[in-house]
Amino acid sequence: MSLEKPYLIFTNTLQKEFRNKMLLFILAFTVAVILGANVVINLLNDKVVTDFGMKDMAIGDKAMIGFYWFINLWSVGLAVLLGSNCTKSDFENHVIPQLLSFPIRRIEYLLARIFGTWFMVMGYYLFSIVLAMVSFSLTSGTLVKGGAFFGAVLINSFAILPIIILAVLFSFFTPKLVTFIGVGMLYLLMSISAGNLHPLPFSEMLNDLSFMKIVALGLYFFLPHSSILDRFSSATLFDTPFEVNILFEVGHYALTMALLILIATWVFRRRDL
Amino acid sequence: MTAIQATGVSKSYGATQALSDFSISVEPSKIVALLGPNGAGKTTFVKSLLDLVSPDSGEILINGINSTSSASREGVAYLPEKFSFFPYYTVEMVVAFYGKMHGLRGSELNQRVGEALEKLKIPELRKKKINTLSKGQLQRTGIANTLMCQGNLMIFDEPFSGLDAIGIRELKLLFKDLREQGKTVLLNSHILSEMEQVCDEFILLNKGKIIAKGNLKTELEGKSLEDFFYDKVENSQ
Repeated sequence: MSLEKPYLIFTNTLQKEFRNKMLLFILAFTVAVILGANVVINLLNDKVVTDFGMKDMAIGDKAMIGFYWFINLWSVGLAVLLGSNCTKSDFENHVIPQLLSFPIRRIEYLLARIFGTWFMVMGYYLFSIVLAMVSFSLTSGTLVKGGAFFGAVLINSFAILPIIILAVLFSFFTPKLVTFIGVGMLYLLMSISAGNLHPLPFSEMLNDLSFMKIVALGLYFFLPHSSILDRFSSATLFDTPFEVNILFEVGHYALTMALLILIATWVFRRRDL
Repeated sequence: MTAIQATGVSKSYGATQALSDFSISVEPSKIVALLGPNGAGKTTFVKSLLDLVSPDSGEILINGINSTSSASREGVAYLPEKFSFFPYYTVEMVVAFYGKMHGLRGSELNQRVGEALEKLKIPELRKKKINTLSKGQLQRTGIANTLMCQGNLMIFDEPFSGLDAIGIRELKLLFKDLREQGKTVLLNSHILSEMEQVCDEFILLNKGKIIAKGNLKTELEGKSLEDFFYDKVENSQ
């Protein structure tokens, strides 16, 4: 299989998103929030805490954890936003029949768009996190280990990908706003179900089955564990304890991602353009 | 080898039968007109050829390759009914993108882009963005894109749309030129007078069925294409 044509669609995705005004606004907003918050935290630490002697109120390192959480959440939002626009804009610009009249398979087109979007979100994520790390390191003197940093980014990149695919899948059926809200809600439900079910041993998961628990189990078993990966990434970065069965999570991720891609391709393949 | 071989192609949208047991064979190096009133099934057939629409039954072969395989589109150029592209692309970027998607690279790509723009008489538009073009300029850009394909099947959906008299004349000459190069040109247009002048063969559709087909000169029997079209469509109602 030649990757030349999918690569062209991939680079076209980057060109498309570089011109996305919403993305530029979000980037500017993120920079402003990170730098602004850093200034406020410094002010609190240096002036209020030092001047008034309230050492217990020092937020130092905790601020970085808070910001990592904020950046991760923001990246999820961005993944949903760009994912919902990923193929939708091709329909809106009436270019989809032209793109698919080229000798390219639908799955190649779809994956090229998805990975292009993923690349953009990860670029944004990396930029935000590096900016946050540098600014916090400079002011608080706290340094994050390089290995932990790259490990956390790598883990989080796996968490972002299924969210984009879910947004693409939703966008086949719904307008952008409905997709944004729908996938946002789904992510929330996925996080709640994973948060409740992840600590339980398998034997206990199937106890006291109610309708809501069956829904939670469905989400937990049939969709990738993005929120668990997100928490694992945070634990890796800040060296905090988080119990995770790596073998189970890798296997589960591979299977559920394959299922998700299969469904997205099947839906897209059946669509008349 | 036939350029297009369609056998028993049927497609319906709900209760509407867009194509019904549609079978044709198009020989290479011909200019073929796909004719019919609105809703006859012409666009559905063109989209089925490109695998943009999945027929309910039947099979379409392009140069012997099943149209459901992306390889069948290696040698196919397509101008859609309403050509558009991402608004921030310049004319040159669009044409180059089409060239790259058809496997052209480096100096050959640059040369072919220049030739296509010259052929469509739009080299001065090279750096202009798509969203600043007039309807006619946009159509010329779309046609320039099709010239980037090195294959032998060119599909034009409403190619005369937006073109002035000079543009239409130049386009007819281009079609004849393409035929001379051994390419098969499939035209879907409502402008019968222009189609009559340029096409060798025709396929007349109504309500998803072929109601006439053959060589344009021999089948018309002295009638104008407009009269022939009107008679056939009226009689098939």
